[in-house]
Amino acid sequence: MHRSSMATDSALSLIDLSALPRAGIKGKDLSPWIDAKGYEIGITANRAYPQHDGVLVARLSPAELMLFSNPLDPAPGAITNSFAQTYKCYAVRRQDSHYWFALTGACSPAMFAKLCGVDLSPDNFTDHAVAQTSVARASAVIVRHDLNGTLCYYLLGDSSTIRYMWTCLIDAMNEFDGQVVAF
Amino acid sequence: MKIIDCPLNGPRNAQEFVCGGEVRQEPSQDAAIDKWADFVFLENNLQGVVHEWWCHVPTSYWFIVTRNTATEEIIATRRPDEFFAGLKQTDGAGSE
Amino acid sequence: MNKRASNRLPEPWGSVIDRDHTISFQFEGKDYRGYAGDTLASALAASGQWLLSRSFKYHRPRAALTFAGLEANSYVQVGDRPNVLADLLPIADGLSAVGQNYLGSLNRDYAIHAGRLARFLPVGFYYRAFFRPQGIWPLWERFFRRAAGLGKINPNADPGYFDKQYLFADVAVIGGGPAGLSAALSAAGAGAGVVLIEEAAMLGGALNYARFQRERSEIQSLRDDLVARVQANDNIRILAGATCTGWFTDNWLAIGRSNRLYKLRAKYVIACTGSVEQTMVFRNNDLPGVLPASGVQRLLRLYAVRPGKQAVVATANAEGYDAALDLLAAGVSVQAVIDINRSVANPQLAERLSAMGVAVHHSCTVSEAIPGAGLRSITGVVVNQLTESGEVTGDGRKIDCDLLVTSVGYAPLGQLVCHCGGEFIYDDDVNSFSVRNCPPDSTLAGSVNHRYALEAVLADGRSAGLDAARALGLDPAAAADAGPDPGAAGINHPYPIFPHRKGKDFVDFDEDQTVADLQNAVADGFAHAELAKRYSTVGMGPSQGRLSSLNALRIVQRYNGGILAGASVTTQRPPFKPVSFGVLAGRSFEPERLTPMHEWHADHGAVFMPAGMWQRAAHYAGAKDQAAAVAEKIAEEVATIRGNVGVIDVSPLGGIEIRGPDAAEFLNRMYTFAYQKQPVARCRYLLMTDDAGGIIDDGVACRLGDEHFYVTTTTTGSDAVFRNMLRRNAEWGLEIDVLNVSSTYAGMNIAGPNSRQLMEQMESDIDFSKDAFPYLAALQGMVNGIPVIAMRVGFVGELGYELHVPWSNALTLWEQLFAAGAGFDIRPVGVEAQRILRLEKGHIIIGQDTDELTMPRDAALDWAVATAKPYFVGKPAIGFSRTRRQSRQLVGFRLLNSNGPLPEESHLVIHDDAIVGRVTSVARSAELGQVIGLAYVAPEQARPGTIFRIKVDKGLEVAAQTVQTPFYDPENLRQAL
Repeated sequence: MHRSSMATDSALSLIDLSALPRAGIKGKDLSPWIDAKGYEIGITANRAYPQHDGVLVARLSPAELMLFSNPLDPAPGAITNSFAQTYKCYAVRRQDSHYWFALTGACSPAMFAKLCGVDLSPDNFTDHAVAQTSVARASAVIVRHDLNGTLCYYLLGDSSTIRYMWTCLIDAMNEFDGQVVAF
Repeated sequence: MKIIDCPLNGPRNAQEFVCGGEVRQEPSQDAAIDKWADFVFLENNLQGVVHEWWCHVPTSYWFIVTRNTATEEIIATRRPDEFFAGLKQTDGAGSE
Repeated sequence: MNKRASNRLPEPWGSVIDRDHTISFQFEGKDYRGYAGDTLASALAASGQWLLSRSFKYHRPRAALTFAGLEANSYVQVGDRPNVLADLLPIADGLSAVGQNYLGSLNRDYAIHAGRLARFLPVGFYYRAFFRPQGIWPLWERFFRRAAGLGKINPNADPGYFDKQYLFADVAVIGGGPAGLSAALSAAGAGAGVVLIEEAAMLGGALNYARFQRERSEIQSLRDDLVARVQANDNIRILAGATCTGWFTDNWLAIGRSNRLYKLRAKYVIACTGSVEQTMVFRNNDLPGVLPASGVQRLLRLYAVRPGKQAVVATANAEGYDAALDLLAAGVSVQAVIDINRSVANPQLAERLSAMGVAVHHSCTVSEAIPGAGLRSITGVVVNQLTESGEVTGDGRKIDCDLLVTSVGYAPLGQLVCHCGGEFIYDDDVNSFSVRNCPPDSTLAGSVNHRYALEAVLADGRSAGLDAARALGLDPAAAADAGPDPGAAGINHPYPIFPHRKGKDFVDFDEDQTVADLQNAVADGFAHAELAKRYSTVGMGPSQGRLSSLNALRIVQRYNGGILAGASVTTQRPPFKPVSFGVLAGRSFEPERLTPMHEWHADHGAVFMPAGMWQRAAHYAGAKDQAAAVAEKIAEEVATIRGNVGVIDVSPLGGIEIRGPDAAEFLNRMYTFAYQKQPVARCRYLLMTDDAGGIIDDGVACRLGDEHFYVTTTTTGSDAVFRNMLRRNAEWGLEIDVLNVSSTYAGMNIAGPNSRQLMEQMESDIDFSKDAFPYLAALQGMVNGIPVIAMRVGFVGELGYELHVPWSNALTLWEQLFAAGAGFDIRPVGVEAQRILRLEKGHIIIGQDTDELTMPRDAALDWAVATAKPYFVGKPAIGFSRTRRQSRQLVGFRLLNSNGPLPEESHLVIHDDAIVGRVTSVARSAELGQVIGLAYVAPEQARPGTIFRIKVDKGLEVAAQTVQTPFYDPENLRQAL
């Protein structure tokens, strides 16, 4: 892992974060696992909760969480779900099943509006909001997680559609002079 | 395009969902053939208030929609456990 | 009027044209010039070219009427684009346009002689002409194919780039005229986020050209002030040059703007769409030179074009008087104002005009326009007295003129509201349609709501904006205060229709229907307005009845003795205006799923085929055109598996993980077989049926632990199976977790007699020997440091190992397998070869060898049905079917003659001259040296050895023989090595 600055001045940037650690956990009662990690996670679904160790935990439903390492400081080992069985939960291999992109910049909501029917404008879709919806007709998870004051949206979808989604994003970004930024 | 208020995800365009048909109680395993044939091949096709299974495709989340097929009004959307608990309470709502 | 004189007026006329910027263009092969800001129609009018098109049936000359794109008179062809509205198309350098729908030229269209045949083309022509004599249709067809349609399409035209975008707003205001501007300001003032949609490039609507019975300067100032305030307001987003073409459930609006389709979701919609001026019906009312007042005012104010030199104004309301004042200001001599009411509509304006020397008459009407050469203009009008009951009487007197301006009222442009439940109902109070049943969270404002006086319009818009704010909870105390316009009753004349005994009194200018046509429709029995429309086709042309439906309804009700008040017309449907296919079609999204090895396949000569959303390698012959070369490559791939070792990428197979105390019970209920006693580290066949007992899926269940199953499904069914599992468990409430892992694990099937040797080359903690890893075992371990689930299943009928590998590691392992296998001459194998290999083992493909009615018994899968279980989906149906006679059986077959014609899937099986079944799979097997397949046959043909007939192409029949499956290695020894 290496540090990098993800805050660019560009009005719209696309970054592939798929190499960074992420994981999922499911279970009817996740509180033992949450307590063991020392996390504080609200009960509202479709919201993300930043944690003390830099991990962002998105609650997808009452019985499912998704964990993201911090792109600005991805500490190895913070994200692991091999513990799950201890707490009668189930591990979800998000590292394999989903790609992870980030879209940053003031034009990102307008670009998303060419692909997605959910209102992602900053006034409506506040920081740490989560939307599980369809983007370019493929199922996707969107998490808003502003980084260093820059508007930023995480976009995750099925790994088998990574090339398809990348092509759709490049095409939609064209109008806004969007840039691909290497991570 | 109709908006459906998903119990998990909130109001969304109807295009994000698929309908799974009416909520129905299946006959018991040893019921007679005419009961099973009715259940499998016939639909009530009611004009009025119906309860239907709907699935939010991006999350594969199933829930129950109560709507009026004549006016297209959606009366309620409920989690399955909520809906079936509500049925038990009204007790004797019948299998129609 | 056809001289190439200039009809251009000097400044300050012409608010949209830029006289510093001249543009050259062509129309019908002739050169013209205009100004930036001109439309094609206005620039041509300025040069005296009024004729733009020919009517559909009689090919009568047509000129623009509204100059606002509301009628089809102005359709022209521009390059590859047919049916472009000339009165909306801005001119640009290099523009070249031609007319449509003529024989010869636009100016001299030979097809006009069809007019002479009018007597023989009565209403209902289309219904009656083709029946007799028998066989006449092909002759008619040839004629109609040439005459039919409007415009020409170029099938080789380059598709453009089209795009879509979603928009979100608190309030959508449709229409940027006085009502829309007021509504937007009052809603935004209350804190709503407003999107204002205006079709023209410029905001203002009627404020840009009308007088509202005041001075133009006053109206212009008001317009400038409102527009400036809207543009300065941060809460208002303006979409100009954008047409709202459809209004759907829950305030979902379709808006077309250039190459983009916007889909706008608004919490509240205010329709300020205005109204369209209606035509007056009299003899020759369709000729160029007859214009509605609003069209004249747009020509004058926006484009500085003088519409004629000598005018007569026929009016029923104050707007006609306003138009007369405008004409005088432009230097047009107004010969008379003919007010068709019993007394003048506006006494002050009448007096003012009289004082300026204009004769003002009332209780009379124009009964006829006198055509000029070629019907391309008028030279005068005939004016008659009207009786008390509004009928033409007496001898007419002629007034010379080259322009007749009419102003008899409006119909609301409420079509959008009717898209989602609104209705046009004839309203006696206003002598026009009113829109009833606005959908929830919406309202109308302005002339669409029969407000015409300026203050009434502005107040109506303001009120609507406050209604919206209140409905959205932004300003709960907002009081909407506007009432109806008391003057509205005097705007629309109830019957501006004056039939002439010599006809040519047109009701619809697209389809050339006259008053007599509608009278005859009623007489023919099609008396109801909806029937009369369909029979006469009035309103069915490209103008969609905007200028004709109102008069048509009045006429039909008068002749059928029906009541006008409360009568309705046919439902309005989207799109409101024509939308190009490009805008509707593209930017279409079709997700594509690729395996981790996709690039590797492509680099190794793979040709791909779709399997659901996936792309799978069909074979590795590269892009070879000859079928024989491809077939040879596929045969090589088959031989590799049978004799050596090959690898098939099976990643698209669905994968589902079931974990939890009730995992085995769940499988027991979802599938027909039994799983409670399935040992850990073993595979078992899965067969799924629905409530009707029909087979819907199959796969393999690997038991990885007491409470842990890894289940595979068919590729195309996996999403539906996964959803179905969740739905069932929502009802059963078993303690399980169901996870879709189709893209978590990639699958590779390594098969062939050398596969064990290959796996032993890899670094692994798994013992691949026969004793440690027997057939049907499922083991977990590491291969080259990568975690795998490894299983031995039947699949292609050879010794083999199917590895399920985490997606991120799959390509690495695949490459390492090929590196290790280099010494074996390992090959990749595609789907085509896979099909043949599996067919040789008699394995069925769900959905190809089964259909919705196939029960396990029909496919010889009864062995996989555990009837002792208390419950599984399909159990009762399967039980019932056992008491009934089987109607068909899926069997293996071979062709008696491998060199004859080949059957294909779905070719029929014949028995005693009846159809008893069909072929479901067929292939040439090199291994067996014959053509084999699977087919449904009658139960009595199912015994091995039976000969049966298959009907193939060209009516031929071939002979086949029922064969016990598997065809290859019937003892199943090789897969269990």
